[in-house]
Amino acid sequence: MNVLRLIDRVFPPQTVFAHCDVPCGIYDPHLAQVAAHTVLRMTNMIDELQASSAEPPFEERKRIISQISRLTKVKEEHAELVKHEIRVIWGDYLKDEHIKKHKAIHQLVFKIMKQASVARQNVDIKAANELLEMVQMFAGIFWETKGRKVQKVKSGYPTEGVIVLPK
Amino acid sequence: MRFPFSRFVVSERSMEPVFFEGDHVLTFNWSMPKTGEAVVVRVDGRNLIKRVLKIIGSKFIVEGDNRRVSSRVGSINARQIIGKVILKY
Repeated sequence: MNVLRLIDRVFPPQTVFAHCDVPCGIYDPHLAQVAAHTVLRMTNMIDELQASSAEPPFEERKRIISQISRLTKVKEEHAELVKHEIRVIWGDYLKDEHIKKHKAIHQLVFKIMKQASVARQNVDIKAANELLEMVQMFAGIFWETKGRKVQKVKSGYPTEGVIVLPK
Repeated sequence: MRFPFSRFVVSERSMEPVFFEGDHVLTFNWSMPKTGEAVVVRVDGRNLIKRVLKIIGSKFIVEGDNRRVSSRVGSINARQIIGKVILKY
């Protein structure tokens, strides 16, 4: 294997991209909605954490800190996932004809990017709910561009919200 | 005729945790890949590293390993396949 690395030094290999730019036409805002629900759930769980007293024992503090760290990590990841999924649909799927029909879409995407950051930075249930609403609005527009009517289905998640799906 | 082996260096993250950015891979270009094997394919002038999910006739359905980054799959023709990955070095 070292021989190959030596050859690479003299004759550099070509770059191969791992990122998916295959124009497959398969797009779905479902994952963005699940991620937004997750951000809301993590925010709720952090908000619900309580200590037994104003000065809890060291063991309890360790447990709470560990729990907050884990919840925050998942919240961060899923807020980023919301942004990623929305960006991909916005950048790769939406065409001029969609923009002409849905003039507010650029502004909505911009607001989702900002709102996801707010939800990341804070433990703010209102902000997380607003993020979810924006993503659902985006999902509604997405399915409309495909000529599909949408329905709001109970998610069945602990967040108790809905998921926007095509009929 | 295509050279039997090609060398590539991986860029971007959609094949993690198997292939990381900066990994070097060697492909064998004289046999068709099977389902589940990693391949280097040529799409729109770009070399992409993907995994074969399904083979339907002469069409290959490929996807990235890291579904967080690569949430989409695509269909390619056999002639777009450069080779299957046989070694990471």
